Amino acid sequence: MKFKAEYNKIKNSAPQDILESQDTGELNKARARYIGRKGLISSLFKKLGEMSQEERPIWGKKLNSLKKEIESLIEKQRKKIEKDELKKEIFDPTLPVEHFKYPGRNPAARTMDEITSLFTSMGFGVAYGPEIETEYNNFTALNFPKDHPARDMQDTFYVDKDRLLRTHTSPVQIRVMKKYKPPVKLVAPGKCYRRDTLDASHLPVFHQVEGLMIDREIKFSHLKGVLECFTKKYFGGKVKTRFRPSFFPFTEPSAEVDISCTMCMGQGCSSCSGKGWLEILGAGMVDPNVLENCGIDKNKWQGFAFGMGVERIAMLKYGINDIRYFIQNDKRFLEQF
Amino acid sequence: MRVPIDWLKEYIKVEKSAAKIAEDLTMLGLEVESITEGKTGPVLEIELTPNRGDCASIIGVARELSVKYKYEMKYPHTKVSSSEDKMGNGYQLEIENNKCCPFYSVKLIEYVNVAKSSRWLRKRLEDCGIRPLNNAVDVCNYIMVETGQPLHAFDAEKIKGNKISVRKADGGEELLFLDKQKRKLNKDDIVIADGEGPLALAGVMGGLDSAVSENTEKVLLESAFFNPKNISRTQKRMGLNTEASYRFSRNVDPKWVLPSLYRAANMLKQECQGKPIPGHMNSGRVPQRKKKVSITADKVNGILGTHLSTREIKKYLNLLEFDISSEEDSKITLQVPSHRSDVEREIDLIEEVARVYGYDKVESSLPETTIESELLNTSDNFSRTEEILRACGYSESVTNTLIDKNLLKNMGLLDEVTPVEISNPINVGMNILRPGLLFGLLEVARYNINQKQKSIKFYERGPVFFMRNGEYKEHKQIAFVSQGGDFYQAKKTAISMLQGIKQEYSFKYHKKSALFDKKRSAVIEIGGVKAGELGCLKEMVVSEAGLSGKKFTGCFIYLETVKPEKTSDIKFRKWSQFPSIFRDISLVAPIGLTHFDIYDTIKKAGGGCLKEVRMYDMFIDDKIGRGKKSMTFELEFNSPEKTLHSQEVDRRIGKIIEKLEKEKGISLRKK
Repeated sequence: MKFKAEYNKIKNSAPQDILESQDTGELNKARARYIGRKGLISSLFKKLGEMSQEERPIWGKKLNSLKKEIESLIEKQRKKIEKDELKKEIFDPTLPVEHFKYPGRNPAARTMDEITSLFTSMGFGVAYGPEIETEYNNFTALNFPKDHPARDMQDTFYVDKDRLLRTHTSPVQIRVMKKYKPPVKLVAPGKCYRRDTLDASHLPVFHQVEGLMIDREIKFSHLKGVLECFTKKYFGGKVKTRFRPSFFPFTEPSAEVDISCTMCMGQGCSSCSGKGWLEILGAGMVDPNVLENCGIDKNKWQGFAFGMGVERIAMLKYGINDIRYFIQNDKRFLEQF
Repeated sequence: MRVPIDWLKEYIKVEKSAAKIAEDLTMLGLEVESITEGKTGPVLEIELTPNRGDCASIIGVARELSVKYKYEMKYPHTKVSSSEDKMGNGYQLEIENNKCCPFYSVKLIEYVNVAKSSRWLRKRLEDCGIRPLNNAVDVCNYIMVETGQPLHAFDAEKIKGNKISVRKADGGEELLFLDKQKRKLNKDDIVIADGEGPLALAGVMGGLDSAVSENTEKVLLESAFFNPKNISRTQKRMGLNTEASYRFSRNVDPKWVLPSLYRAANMLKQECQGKPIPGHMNSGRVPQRKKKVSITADKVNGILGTHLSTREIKKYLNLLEFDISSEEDSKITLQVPSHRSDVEREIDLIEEVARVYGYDKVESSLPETTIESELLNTSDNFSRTEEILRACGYSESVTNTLIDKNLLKNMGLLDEVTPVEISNPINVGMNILRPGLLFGLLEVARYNINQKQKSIKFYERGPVFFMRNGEYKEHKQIAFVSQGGDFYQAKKTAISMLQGIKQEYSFKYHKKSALFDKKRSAVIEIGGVKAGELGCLKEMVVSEAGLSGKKFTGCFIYLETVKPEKTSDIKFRKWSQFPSIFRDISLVAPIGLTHFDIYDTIKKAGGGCLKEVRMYDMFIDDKIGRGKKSMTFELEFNSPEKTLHSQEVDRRIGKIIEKLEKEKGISLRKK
C-alpha cells in the first residue's frame, strides 16, 4: 500500500512542482527530483521488485506512463521558461512604452480660466455677453464721446450701421448693470476685436477679462486692495504693484496698473524697456455717467471696474515674445501649457 | 511728446535727476516711455493720454512738475496789443463758420531774412523730434512746443488778394501740401483760403504754394483756435498726424492764442531780423472758459478711501491753479483754469486731488461686501468636456473667429448657412465671422502637418455666428478634428465626452450633411434634440481646407443643447447585492436592421431584470445567408431583491428570442 500512496503523491505533486518552476534551475531540480537517476520514479521502479508477480507489470506500465507524462510536462515547461527567459534577458526598464501624451492647452484659454477662477474664489460672479454688440453698449453707454476715434471704421469692425464686434469686454458691465440691481460683483471673460493688423504684438481677435464691483461704499482703496490681491496670487508674492493716473472714458479716477518686471525684478531690462515695470491692466472708479446710463443712482451706488488683456498677461507670465503664437496653435507651443 | 529737461528749467527750478523726474511725471499720469540723451541733455519721451492736451507743451509739463515739487512757475511774459490798429488795413479776415473756428488771428512781419536758425534753437527743436527747416518755420514750431499753441507762417506775398477766409472746403477742392503730396479735401475739412483757393488745411498742415521759402520777405503769422473735433476728424481721415493736429485735436489753451502770436513775432525779429507791423488782426472771439465746479471732502474721501481734510484738498487744487471762488460749509467751489478743458465735474476734481496726493499713497483695503449670488459661477460642465477631450489626446486650440467667405463658397456651404459679414474687414481672408469651428481646426491641422507634427488631434470651444431671418445668431460650440480614424473612433470620443457630462445622447442617420460624408457620419441628439454632427469629413471639405488626399474625422456639438448638470439631481442609489447572471446570444438578423433596432427590442422584451445588453461581435458570412448579419450580445440579468435562478433567466431569454423572431425576423444562429 505504501507503494500506491507514494505513486499518488508523485502524480499529484509533480505537475504543480513543474509548472511552478520559474527558471531552468528550478526545473532541473524538479526533473532530478522526479525522473532523475536518483529520483522518486527511479526509486519506485526499484521497489517494483517487492511486488507480487501479478501486480508488477501493471504498476510497471503505470510508472512508465507517469514518467512519460512528467517528461512531457517538463519539456513543455522548459519551452515556456526558455521563451520567458528570452524575454527576461532583454528586460529594460528604460524601454519606451506607448503612453498618454498630454496634448496641451492654448495658453490664452488657460490664462483666461485661471484669472476667472482667481476672481470667483474672491466671491466674484461670472457674466458673459455677445461678441456682436450694439454701438451703444460698446461706446455710448460707456461714456465715449460721439467723435471718439475708437468708434472709427479704422479701429473697429462693424457688421452693420450700428452693430459692431465688441472692442472690449466692458459692454458686459452695461448689460449686467441694466439687468440686475446692485450690488454686483463680477468678472466677464471673452473675446474682443480690434481692427489691428496682425503683428508680433497685435491680434485682431484677442481675449479680455473685465471686472466690475458696485456697492454702496466701494472705493478706490478697495480697487487697489482687490487688484493687489490678484497680482500677488497670480504673479507670486514678491511682485510689486503700482497704480498710476491714466485716462479711460468709462472710469474716473482712472488708473493704469503696473507690476514690477517679472524678468528683472524691477531692475530694468529689455522686457520692461528699462523701466522696471510692466503694464498689465487698466482700471478705475466707474464714471457716474456710466452708472446713470444704466439707470443706477450715482448718489447711492459707486464702484470700480478693471479690464485686462489675457494674451498680454500670458505673455508676461510665461515669457512668450510673439502674440501670433496664440492663434497659430503649433503643437509644440500648446504642449507647454 | 519729447521734452528736453534743459528747456523745462526755463520755467521751474528742477534739481532732480532725469530718472526721478521721469518717475514723478509717470506717477502724475504723464507716462514717460523713455529717457534719451539729446543735444541739450536728457530728453523725456512722454505718452500723453487724450484728455491731457494741456501738457502738450513744455510749459504744461513744467506746470505739472511745479505741482509735484511745489516750485513756483515762471510763465514767460509777452505784451499783447489790443488788436485792430495799423495792420487792420492790410487784410480782410472772415470766419465763415464760428463753430469750426471760433477765433482766428494774424500778424504781419516784414523784411524777414529767411535763413538757418540759431544753433541753440535748432538743437532744442531736434531734441523735440522736430526737423529744423528755416528760421521762420522753426520759430513757429518753437513757440508751439513752448506754449502748446500751433502757429503757421505764410509767405504773405503768395496770398492772392487781401481777403483771407476760414471756411469749410468745397467737395472737389485739392491742395498741394507742404509734404509735396496733393490731397483731395472733404466738405468737413476747414481750410484757410485766399481769393483763389485753399492755402492751408486748418490746424493740420499748410500748402506748399504759400509756404515760407528762402525768397520770402513778408511773413504772415497765424494763430487760431479751431474746433478740436473737426481737426481730429480731418487728421484721422487723411491719416495726417502732425504736431499741430496733435495739439488742436486735444484742445489748446485759449489763454495762449494771442500771446503765442506775439511771442513768435518777437522771436522772428531776433532770428530773421524781421520788422513786425505793430498790432494784429483777428476775427471771432477767443473762447472763454469760466467753468466752476464744487467739491466736498466727504465725497473725495468717500470715493478714494482716504482721510483728507478740506485744507489739504484746497492746497492740492490750488497748486493745480484751480482758484477758490466760494466756500460754504464744507463745499468748496473752484474756478477751472483755462488750460483744463477736461475738468467739468466733481469726480474730475477728485481725480485731480488723487493725482497730486499720489495714487501710491491711497492705502489699499479689501471691501466688506456680500458675495455675488445672482451671477455666482454655476459650474457649467463644459470645462469637463475639455478635460475629457485632452485625456483622449486632443490639444486645445484657439483659432481666429474671422475667416474667409471664399472658403465657405468653395466648400459649397453658402446655400446652407448665411455668414455674418464684416463691413470693413482688414483683408479678404478675414471677411466673415466663422459659422462653425471645424474650419479653424482644419487650418490648425494643416499647419501642424506642414510642421511635421504627429498625432493631429485638435479641439476648440468657442462662439460661432450666422444670420437667420435677418438676425445675428451667436452660439457656443465645442468641436474636434482628428487626422485618420473612422466614424466609430469619432463616436467613441464623442460618447466619452457626452457621457462624462451625463447627457442623454443618441445617434441618427444623416439625411443630408454639408460637411460630413453622409454614409460615414451621423447626427447627435441630446435629449431628443439635434445637438451636432460627427463622422468622416467630406473629401471636398478636406481638400478645400488644403488637406487634399488626407482623411479627417470630426465632430461639433452646440453647447446650448447640453443640459447643465445640477448637483441637486444627483441621488445616491444602492447597487444590487446579488450576483448577476450573464448569457450570450448569437443572432442572425436582416442586414438593414440597425443595432439600435435590435438592442431596443431586446431591452423591451427583457423585463426589469435585464440590466445590460452589450453587443460584442458582428460579421457577415455566406454561411449565414445573403442579406443577413450575425450579431452576438451579452445579456446581464440582475435583481436587486434576490439571486436569480437560471430557469427564470432562460424563460426570459425565450421571450426575447420569440419577440425578436416575431417582430424583426431575427433568429438564433445555429452553431
